[in-house]
Amino acid sequence: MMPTTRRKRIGVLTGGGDCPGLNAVIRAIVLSACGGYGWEVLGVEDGFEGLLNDRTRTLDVDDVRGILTRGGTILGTTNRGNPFAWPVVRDGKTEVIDASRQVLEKLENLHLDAMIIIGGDGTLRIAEALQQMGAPVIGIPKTIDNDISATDVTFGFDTARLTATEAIDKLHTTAESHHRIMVVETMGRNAGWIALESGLAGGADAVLIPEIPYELDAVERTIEERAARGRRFSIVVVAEGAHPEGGEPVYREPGAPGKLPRLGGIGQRVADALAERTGRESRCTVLGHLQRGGSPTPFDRLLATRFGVRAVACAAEGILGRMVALRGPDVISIPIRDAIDTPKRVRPDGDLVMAARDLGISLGDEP
Amino acid sequence: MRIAVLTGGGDAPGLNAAIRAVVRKALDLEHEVVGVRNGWLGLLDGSVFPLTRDNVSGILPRGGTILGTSRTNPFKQEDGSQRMLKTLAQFGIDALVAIGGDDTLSVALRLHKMGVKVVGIPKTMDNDVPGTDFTIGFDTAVNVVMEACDRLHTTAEAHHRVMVVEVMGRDAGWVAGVGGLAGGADVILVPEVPFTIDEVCDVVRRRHGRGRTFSIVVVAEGAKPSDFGLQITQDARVDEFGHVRLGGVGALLAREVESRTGYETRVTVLGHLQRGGSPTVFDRVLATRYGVAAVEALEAEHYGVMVALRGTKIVTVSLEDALTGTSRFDLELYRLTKLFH
Repeated sequence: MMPTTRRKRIGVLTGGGDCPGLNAVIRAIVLSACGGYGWEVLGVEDGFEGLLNDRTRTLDVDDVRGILTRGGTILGTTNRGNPFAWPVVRDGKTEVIDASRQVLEKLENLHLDAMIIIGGDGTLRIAEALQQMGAPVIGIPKTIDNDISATDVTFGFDTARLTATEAIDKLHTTAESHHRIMVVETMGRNAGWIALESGLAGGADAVLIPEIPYELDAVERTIEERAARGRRFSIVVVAEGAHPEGGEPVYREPGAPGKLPRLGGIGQRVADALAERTGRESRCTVLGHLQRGGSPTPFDRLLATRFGVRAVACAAEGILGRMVALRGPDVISIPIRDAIDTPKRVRPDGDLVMAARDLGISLGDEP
Repeated sequence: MRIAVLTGGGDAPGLNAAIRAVVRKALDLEHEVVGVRNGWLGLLDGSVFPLTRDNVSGILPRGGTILGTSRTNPFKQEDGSQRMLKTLAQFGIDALVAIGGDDTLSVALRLHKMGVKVVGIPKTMDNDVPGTDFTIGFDTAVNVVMEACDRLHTTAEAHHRVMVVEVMGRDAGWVAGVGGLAGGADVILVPEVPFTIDEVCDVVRRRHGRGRTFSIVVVAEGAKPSDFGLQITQDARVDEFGHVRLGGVGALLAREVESRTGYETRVTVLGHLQRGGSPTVFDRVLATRYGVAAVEALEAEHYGVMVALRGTKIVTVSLEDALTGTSRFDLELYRLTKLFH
C-alpha cells in the first residue's frame, strides 16, 4: 500500500514598500508550487497585518494569470507591519506591543510547511527573528534600493533605475533649452545606488549620494566650469538620503510608533542653495513613487521568477530559515542573517564611483 | 527672403521638429534662414546665427529647442521695440517665424502691428491657445501624465493609498483632463471647475466602500480648492508676463485628504518631466506641418497670422483672432471624466 502523505501547504506574504516584480515572484511561486508540485498556496494580504487579522486566501494558477507584467502586488502590502513593534490603539492612545507570539500562533494554526516572506531588510529582519522562534520561513529579498548585501542585486532595482534614467533624459532637454540647473531627487534611502547608476546612465553632471557627504562648493564649481565651456545647464541627481559634510539627511516625516521616518526634501534644498550661489535658475523634480510603479523590466521579471522558483524548491527540499540570493550567474540560498548583517552601500572607492569621477561627474566632494 | 525663427516661453517637445521644418521648407523655396537665440532676448541683443540643413539634421526626435528660449517680454525692456527693429535691419531679416504660447504670440502680434512681417506657430504643453485645436507639446505632455498614472496605479493599489498627481496647466485643464482620462484617474480636478476637498474625500470614501482601497487623483497646478480661496502659488514672484509660479495644490490636497479620510496619501509633482523628452508621433507630425505651413504663409505674403489645426486641416488664422478669449478644457470631455469617478 502507498503511504498517504498530506498535501504540502505553503504561505506567501509581501512586506514593506512595493516594487516592480512582486507579482512576478508571486506568480512564479504559485505556478511552481501548485502547477509543478501540486501543493496548496495561501496568500496573506497586506503583510503581517493580514496574518494577524486572518486575512488569507488560497492562490491558484488562475489567480496569477496575467500578473507577470503588472507592477505592485496582488497581495497588498504595508510598511507599518513589524509584529515585534506592533502599534495598537488602547483607550485612544497608540501603544507599541510585541505581537510576535500571535504571529507564531497564526502560522501554526495555518499548518504551513513553509512561509515565504518577500521583503526588504526590515521584513527580512522580522523573518529572521521569527525563524529564531521556530517559524518555518523562507526569505526572498526585494527592494528598489538594492541595499541588501547578500545578493548581487534585488528585483525592482532595474525598473527603478530605468525610470530615473528616463526622467533625467527628459529633464536634459528642458534644462538645456532654459539654461537651468535641474535637480532630480531619487529614492534609495541610505544607499546611493539608484542616484549613482541612473546619474551615470543619464549623463548627469553631479550626483550626490549618502555614502559621500557633499559640499555645495564642489557642486557649484562643476556648474561654473561647465558654464565657462558654454554648457549653461547642469543636471544634479540627489539621492533622498544625501547629506552635506557634517550635516544630517532631510526628513519629510518623523518616525512614529511602528513607522519609519520618511526621507525627502533634500532636492529642493540643494536646488535653492545652488540658485542662490550661482544666480542661475534652478528647478527640482522629486521622482518619488514613480520609481516604485510600472511594469517590471525583463531583468526584474526574470530575477523575480527565478527567486520564486528557487524559494519553492527550498520548501520542497525542506531547507528552511534561508533566503534566496543572486551570486554571479546562480540563484542560491543563504542564511537570512547574512542578508541583514550589513546593508549594501555604494563604495566610495569602488569602480562605479571611480568611473563617475573619470567622466567628470562631481560627487560633491574633493576627490 | 531671409527668415528668422525664434522659440519663446516654456519649452515643449516638438520645438526642434518645427524649427527643422521651417528651415527645410524655406531652403526648399531658396530662402535663407537665421535662428534667434533665447526667444525675444536674442532679438533684443542681436544674437542671431545662420541655420543650415546641417544645423537641423538629427534634431527631429530631440526635446527642447536648439535655439534656446526665455520668458523675456521685450516690450518691458528699455527701448525694446527699437532694439528689436535694429536687429532685424542689421541682419537683413525680412520676416519672422515666432514659435510660442500666447505670451510669445502676443509679442508677435504687436510686432506685426509695427509693420514686421510675422507668422506665429502655437506651442504650449497646456494646449491653451484659443485659435487652434492643438498646440505643439501637448500630446507628449499628456503621454507623460498617462504613463505616470499607470505607474502610480500599481503602487497605490499595493499600499492601499491615495495618490495625488499634480500636473501642469495654469488656467486650462487640458493636461489634467486628457492625461487623467487616459490614465484612468478616479478624480480629475481642473482650473475651470472649482472643487471642495470634501468632494474629493467623498469619491475616495465611496471607492473604499466598494473595496477599491486606493485612488488616483489628478490635479492641475491651477485648480482652485474653493475652501482655500485662491490658486496655490510657490512664491509671490511674477515673471515678465505677470505670471506667478503655481504649484503646491497637490501637497495641500494630499495633506487634507489624508487628515480627513485617514487614508494614507502621497503626492507626486510631475513638473518638468512633462516638458522634456522626445516628442510623440502626433507632436512631430503636427510641428512639421506647422513649420511648413508657416513658411508657406510667408511665401503667400500672409502676415500677422498663426498657423492652426482645425479638425484635420492646417489653416491660418489672424493672430488677433487666435489670441482672443481663452482655450478652456472641453466641458463635455470633463463631464465624460465624471462617469469614471
